[in-house]
Amino acid sequence: MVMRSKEKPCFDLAMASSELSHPVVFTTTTQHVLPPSKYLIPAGWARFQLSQLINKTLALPQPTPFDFLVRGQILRGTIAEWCALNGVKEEETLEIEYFESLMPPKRLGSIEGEEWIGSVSCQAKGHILTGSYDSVVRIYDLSQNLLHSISGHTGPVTSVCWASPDSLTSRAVISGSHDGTARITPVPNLESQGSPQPLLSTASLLLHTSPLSSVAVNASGSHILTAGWDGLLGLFSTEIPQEDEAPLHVLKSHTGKITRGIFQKSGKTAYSCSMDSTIRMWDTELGVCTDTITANNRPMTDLAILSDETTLLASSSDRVVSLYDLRQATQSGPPPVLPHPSFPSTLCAHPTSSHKVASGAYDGFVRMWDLRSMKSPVNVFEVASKKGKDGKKILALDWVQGLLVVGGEAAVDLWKVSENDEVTRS
Amino acid sequence: MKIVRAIRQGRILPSKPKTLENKPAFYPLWDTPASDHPAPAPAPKPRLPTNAESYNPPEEYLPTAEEKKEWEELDKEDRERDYLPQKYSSLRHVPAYPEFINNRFERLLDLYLAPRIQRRRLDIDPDSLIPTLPSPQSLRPFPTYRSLHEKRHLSRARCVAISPDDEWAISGDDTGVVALWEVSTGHQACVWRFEQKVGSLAWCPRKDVLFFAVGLDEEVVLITPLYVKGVIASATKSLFEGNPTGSNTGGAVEWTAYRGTATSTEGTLQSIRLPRATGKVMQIAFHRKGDYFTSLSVAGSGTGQSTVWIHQTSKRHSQAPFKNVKGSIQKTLFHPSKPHFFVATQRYVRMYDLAEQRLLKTFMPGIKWISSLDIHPSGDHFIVGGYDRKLCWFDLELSDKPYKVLRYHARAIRSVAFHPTYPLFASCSDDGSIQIFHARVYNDLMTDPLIVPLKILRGGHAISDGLGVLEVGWLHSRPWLVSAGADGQVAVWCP
Repeated sequence: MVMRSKEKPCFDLAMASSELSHPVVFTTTTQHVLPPSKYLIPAGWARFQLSQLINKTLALPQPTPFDFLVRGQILRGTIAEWCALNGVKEEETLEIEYFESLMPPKRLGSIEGEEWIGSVSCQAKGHILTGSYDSVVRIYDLSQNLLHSISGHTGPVTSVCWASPDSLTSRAVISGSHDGTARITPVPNLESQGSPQPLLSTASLLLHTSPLSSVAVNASGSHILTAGWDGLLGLFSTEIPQEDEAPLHVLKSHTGKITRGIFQKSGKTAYSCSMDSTIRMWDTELGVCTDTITANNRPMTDLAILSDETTLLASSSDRVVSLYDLRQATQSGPPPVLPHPSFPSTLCAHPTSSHKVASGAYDGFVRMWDLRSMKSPVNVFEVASKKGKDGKKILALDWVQGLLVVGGEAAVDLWKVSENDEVTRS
Repeated sequence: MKIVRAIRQGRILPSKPKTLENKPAFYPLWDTPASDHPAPAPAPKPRLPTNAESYNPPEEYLPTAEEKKEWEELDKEDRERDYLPQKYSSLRHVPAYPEFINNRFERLLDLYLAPRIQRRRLDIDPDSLIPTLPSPQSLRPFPTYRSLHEKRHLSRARCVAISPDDEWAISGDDTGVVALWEVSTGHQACVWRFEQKVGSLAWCPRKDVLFFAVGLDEEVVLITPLYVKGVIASATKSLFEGNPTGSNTGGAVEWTAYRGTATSTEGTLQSIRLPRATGKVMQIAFHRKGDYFTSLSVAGSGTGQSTVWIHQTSKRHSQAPFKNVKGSIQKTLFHPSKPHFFVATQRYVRMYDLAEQRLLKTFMPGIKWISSLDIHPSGDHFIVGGYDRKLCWFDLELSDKPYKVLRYHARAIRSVAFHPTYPLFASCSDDGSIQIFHARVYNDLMTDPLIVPLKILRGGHAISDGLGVLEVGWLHSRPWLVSAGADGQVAVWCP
C-alpha cells in the first residue's frame, strides 16, 4: 500500500496515457498466429506487455518472448513513444509484425590452442576450419576433434576458406599466410581414419610480396581472390595446375594495405576494403575497378555483404561499422553506422537473413545486430580468455545456420545461436 | 568728385591695411589652448537627504530608546549614520543645527585634502584574453582511444619504433628483450633477448631495404626481421655483404657480424662495437635517406661523458663529429632536408652544419634538463621536452628563444614526437598521460604556427616507480600512435 501511495502521481499519468489506445493488427510468419482482428492496445505498452498478450491469448505451453516490428523497425520503447518519434496519429491502424526473440547464444565448447587463431570457417557442414598464427591450418569436427592439419606455410595463416565444400571431387582448402603465398589443398576425404591426417597443398599462388590478409572463393568455387598488404588483389582460378599458379588478373588501385576481399554471390563482382579508407568494386571478368566508396579517415578493417546483396558493411578503426547501400548510385550524406565501444576487427553477415550481422571486437565481445534497430546490439556475449592471460581479442567470425564460430587470441569458441523462423521481408 | 578722383589715383586709401600695431584692443582672455592634462575630477557630490532627515519624519523612522542609546554609545566613526531622526510638529520648532560649523569644516577639508586623481579603469573582458582556437572536433583525425594494449614486457618498456611500412613495431625493455609485433593486431612475431638493457631502437627509413638498429651497451646491432621476403630481403642482405672500400676495420669502431649472446640471433646483420667504456647507446637516429645514422652513447647512468658517432651503413664506416664534448648530450637528430645536425645538451640545443663543420645557432629553451627533441618534417620548427615538465616550440627562423612554452604535464616529459604527415605532435610524461596537439605550420612566413591542444590520453599506462609513458611513436601514414610504458605495456591509440 505504501508503494501504491508513493507512486500515485505516476500511476495517474499512466492511467491517463493508457486510456489512449491504438488500433493494432498483428501479423506474423511464425506458427504462433493470433486470430485476425483489430486490437485496441494501450499506448503505454512496450515489448514486454505485447509479448505477454500473445502468450496469454494463445495460451502457449511455455512462455516465449517475442519481438515486434512496427513498419520495419524493432519496437524498443512504448508504442506511444514510437508514434511520437515517427509522427503517427492515434487513429491510424498500426500493423505490428512479431517474431520470436533471439535467445541469448549458448556456448557449445571451445578448441584451446597455443597460438592465436587468425581465421575460421565453418562452411563445410559439421566441420570447422581454422588458420592459426603457428602457420598450420587445421580441420576439426563439431566435437572438437582434430581431423586434419595442413602445414606448409612458413608464416602465420591469416585467412582460410573452403572451395566448393560440398563437392567430393573438387573440395579444397584455400589458405593465405604472412609468408606472402596462398595455398590450395585438396581435401577429398573429410572424415579421418583414426589419427589426424597431414595434408599436402598442391599449389601455391604467388603474387604478393607482402603478407596476405584475406583469401576468398566465389560461390561456384571457380575463382580465388587474394588480398595483400601491398595493396594488390589477385584473381586466380581454382583449376589446380601442375605448378605454382599465376593470377588471371591483378587488381591494382588501393594505396594502402587491403584488409579484406570478398566475392558477390554471382562471382561477377568483387569488393575489397583497405586501410586507405576506401571500398572498391571490381569487375572480375575484366579485372577493372568499377566503383569506389571513399570514407574520410576511416581505415577499414573488415568487409561483409548481406545475404540479399543490397548492403555492404565495413568495420573501421574509428569504432563504427558503416553500412553502404549498393542500390544507391551515389552516397548522400554519411552512411548509417553501428557504434562499438572498442576496435571492431571482424564482421560476419547471417547466411540467409538480410538484417542480421555479427561483429567481433578487440574487447573480446561478439555483438549481434539486427539492422532494423541500429542503436544497440541485440545480443552481446563475451568469449573466454586464456587462463592467466587477459588477451581475448577476436580476429575471426563465421556464421552458418545456428552456429557461430569465433576465433581469436584465446581459442576457437563455438556458440549455438537460436535460429527462429525468420521474417523474410521483400 | 575730388575725393573720388583721389581714391582712384590711390592718394586716399579707403580702409587702412591692418598691421601688427593695430590689433584689437580686446581679446578672449580665456581662449588659451586646452592643457594636455586631464580635466580635474569633479569633487564628489554631497549626499542628498532622505526621509529620515526630515524635520517631521514618519513615525517608523524614529529610533526607539535602545537604538538611540546604542547610537550615542558608538564612536563617531563607527556610526552608521551621523544623525538621529527627530520629529518636530512644525518647521518653526526646529532648532539651529548644532553640527553646521563642523560639517562645513569637514567638507572644506574634503575638498582641499582629498586627492582627486582620474583613475583609468581597465575595462577588459576576460574572455577576450583567451585566444580563439578552432575546436578540436574540426581538427580530426587524431588519436582518441586505446584500440589495443598488450603486456608485452616484464620490465619497463623503454623504447618503441614503427617500421616504415606502418605494419610492424618493435619495442625494447630493461631486461634486454626486443619484441617485433604487428601494429594492427598486436601479435608478437619475433623476440630477441639480449643480455644488456636495450637503450634505443630505430628503423631504417629506406623503402628498398628493411632493418632496424638496437642500441645496447657499447654496441649497436642491426637486425632484419625474418618475415621480410623477396627483393627487399635480398637487397638488405647484399647491403651488408662483402667488404666495401673505405670501411675502417682498424678504427675505434668495429663493424663485425654479431657474435653476442642473444638467445635468438635470427636476422642479425651487423654489429657495431663502439669503444670500451663509452656506455650504453641511449639514442639512435637515422638520416632521412637511411644511409647515415647517429648513435649517442652515455657513460654511467645518463650523467657521464657522452659520445656521438655518425655511422654510414653503405661504407660501414663510423666517425665521431665532435672531438670532446662538454656536458652531457641528451639527444641528437639530423635535419630532415638540410645537412644540419641538432645536438641537445642538458640546457641548450645546438645546430651544426655538417658540410661546413661549424656551429650555426644555439637555442636556449630555458629548460633545466632537456629530455627529448623532435624536428618538424618541414625542418623549420622543432620541439623540446624537459624533465621540468616544459615543452618548448622553436621556430628556426624566428629566434633562439622559444616561440611557445607549453606546461601542461604534471610530471617530467619523457618523449615528444611529430607526426611525419599529419599536423600533429604528441608528448608523453611520467604522469602516465599522453597529450596530443595539433600543430599547423604555414608556408607563409608571416603566419605563426597554430598550436591547439587536442586530447589528453589518460589511463593507458600505469605509473610504476614514478615512471609513466616512456616513449611514443607515430605511424607514418595514419594518425595512429604507439606508446610504451614503464608498466611493460605497449598500446596503440586510434582516432
